[in-house]
Amino acid sequence: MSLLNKVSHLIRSSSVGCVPQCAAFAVQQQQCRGIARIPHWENHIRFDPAVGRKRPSQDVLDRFRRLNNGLWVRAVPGKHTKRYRKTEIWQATSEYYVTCTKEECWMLDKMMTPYWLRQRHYADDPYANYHVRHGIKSPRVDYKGELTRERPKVLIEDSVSEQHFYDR
Amino acid sequence: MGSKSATERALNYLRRAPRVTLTDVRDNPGARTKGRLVRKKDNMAGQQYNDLRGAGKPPLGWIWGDFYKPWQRIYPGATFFNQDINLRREYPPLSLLELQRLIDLGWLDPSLPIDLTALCNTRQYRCDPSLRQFGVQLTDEGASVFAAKVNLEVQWASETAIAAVERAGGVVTTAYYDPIALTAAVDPLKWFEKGEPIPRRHSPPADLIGYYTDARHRGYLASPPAVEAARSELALKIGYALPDRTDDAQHDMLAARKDPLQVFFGLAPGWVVNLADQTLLKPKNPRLLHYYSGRLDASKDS
Repeated sequence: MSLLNKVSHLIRSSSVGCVPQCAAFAVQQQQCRGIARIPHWENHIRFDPAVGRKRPSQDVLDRFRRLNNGLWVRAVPGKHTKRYRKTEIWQATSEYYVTCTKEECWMLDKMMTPYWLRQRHYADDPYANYHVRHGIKSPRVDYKGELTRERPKVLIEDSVSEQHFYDR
Repeated sequence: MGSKSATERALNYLRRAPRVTLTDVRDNPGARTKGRLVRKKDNMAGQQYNDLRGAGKPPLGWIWGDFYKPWQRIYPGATFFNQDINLRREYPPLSLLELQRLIDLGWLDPSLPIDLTALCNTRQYRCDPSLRQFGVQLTDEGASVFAAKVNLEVQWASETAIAAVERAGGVVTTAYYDPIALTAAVDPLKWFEKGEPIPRRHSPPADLIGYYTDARHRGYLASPPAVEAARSELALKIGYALPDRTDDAQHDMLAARKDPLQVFFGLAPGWVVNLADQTLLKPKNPRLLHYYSGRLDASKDS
């Protein structure tokens, strides 16, 4: 009798107690997204061992463009897929480039190196009109005191440059 | 020891005794207490150590969802945004207003031809050839107030800027400097101190030949009669009278042009400027003379 009790207790504990608990545990593990599963090449800012410097995010460089006023420009997602199913308004507006928000621009700047944050002046630049942003009240300078949105002028005060330049 | 007197023994004792130092006035042990050192697990500043805190943090741009598709990866590729950034030519701009200001304040001498070297010597305008900057781009801000009569050599100029300079009686030429010649032109002192010969300017690359042979852009490779015709044409187009330059006191200065191979006014390519001895060293080797004469480009196939 005592032996039977022991055996039934073993069976019950093994079938009812242990296995479903383990199964529930496994399911729970799968549902909870393991934050520690970040691949090692993603969870830190990459440094180039050859150069010894931070590397800019190639994903950003392949998809975004920085204007001289600090804005980032991107294409509309989904502009290439199933265009035949989409409206004519979409056909037109999906060709536009869209500016990112302030927070997104800040984030993209952090993924870049100083080389990519420099103002660039090209001859016959098709983006020339978009390098200027008017009516912005936020500070003109960054924490280093350098102008962030405009080209610094040579030996010219603001009162004079306002009369001839339309870049503020 | 016994033979010495008590005085002598006392002096010996004093001689061997330790001197009074700062350590004699130090605190007794335990008189002052430092901050209590606790174990790591007790020193968490109110934060508990858990897996989430100890784990590696997600990268910038990570959004909830597919880990392998951060925010910046959901947008379609537009590689033409940045792919040729290492091939583009940058031309740091200089407006007519700034040029006028530099002349008015005495940074530039309008009685001499103004080229990139003169502009960079002011240390107000900067051009860095290592950043693929190819020289001055003359922009038209301040065209209405530009009044200086100058002989100007820039690398790129807009039509309005050309018109403003020529209306004031001046001359504009657009000239190409290859990166090595530009390095010498931007900082001549540094180049001379290296002891290297003055380089010859190379001809423009294929996509710029059209610009620099065009008289409408006042290219340095355009023929002088075509440039004269383009001057009068632009004066007609914008609507101003072209000043007469024949009986001008500054005629010689305004007519001065560099040779297409020349980097500095008055100095030929191939010369070495010895700053220590204040001398010029000119090449005599026929091969050097042939190289610096610029006929190499024409007879490349032979």
